Amino acid sequence: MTETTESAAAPQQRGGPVVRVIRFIGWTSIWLGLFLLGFVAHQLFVTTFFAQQNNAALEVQAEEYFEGAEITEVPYTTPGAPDVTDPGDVSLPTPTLLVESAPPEHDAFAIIRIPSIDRLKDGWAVVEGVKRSDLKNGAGHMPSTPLPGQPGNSVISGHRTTYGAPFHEFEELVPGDIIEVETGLGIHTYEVRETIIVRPTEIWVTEQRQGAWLTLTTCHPKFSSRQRLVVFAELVAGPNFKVING
Amino acid sequence: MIAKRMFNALPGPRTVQIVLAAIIVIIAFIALMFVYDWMGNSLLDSGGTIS
Repeated sequence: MTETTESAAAPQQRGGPVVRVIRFIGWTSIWLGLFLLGFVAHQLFVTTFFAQQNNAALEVQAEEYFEGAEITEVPYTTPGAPDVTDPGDVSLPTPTLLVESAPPEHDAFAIIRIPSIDRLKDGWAVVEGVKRSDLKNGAGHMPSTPLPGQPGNSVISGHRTTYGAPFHEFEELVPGDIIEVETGLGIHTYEVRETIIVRPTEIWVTEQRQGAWLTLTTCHPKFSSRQRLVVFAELVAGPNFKVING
Repeated sequence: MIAKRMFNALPGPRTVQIVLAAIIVIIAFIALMFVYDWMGNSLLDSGGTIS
């Protein structure tokens, strides 16, 4: 009696081709759902957890770099201004620019602070380099551009939604907001002038400018790397401000 | 069920099977993290660089 019941139930449990297809789709959906759930958890929490841990260590590294940075003075002439370095002209002192030694690649050398943004009130370490591995731990300074506080256009990139998302609230920045970057020379204060959205290939935003500028770039919109949110800020105070602005 | 069948298919005595299973799980986990990392950089947030 029992054997008959079991043998009749076995094929029913295995099901026909339709049941098997439905079961396959069901299991695939469950595994896909778990995979995507894991992906979201990894991106939002795991990357941020490790980035915050690593960035705290990088801030310590940056502070050590501040103490050991080699600072030199170099003659500087504002583009377009008369050349006061002319040896024949002894009436005017030669303006000198403070220059720090180039930081080692991948190392933290600066701390960026934006008082109007909660995440960056206390600062976030900036490393030299914009490779994927560099940006996992801190914001990254584009090595082909001047260091913050120097004449030209210093470019720093950072994550918007993952790896600590240091630039998460960048859409809140408006002209007039203050950005501070601390380096071995001291604190360079910039003021936001403009915020724009461009394609990731628009490299003109990194081109050099007259005066001293800081360009911050991050992904846009949030949770997409389709575009870039770019913040242009101009130096308004700092160790080199008077020399650069005549 | 499938996991149990795969575990039983591993060679060697029980202890070796456990060690092998642990190694496979660790490798699979690391591979999964790499896949998540690549997906995140490609789809969600590449770090905001201009190039």
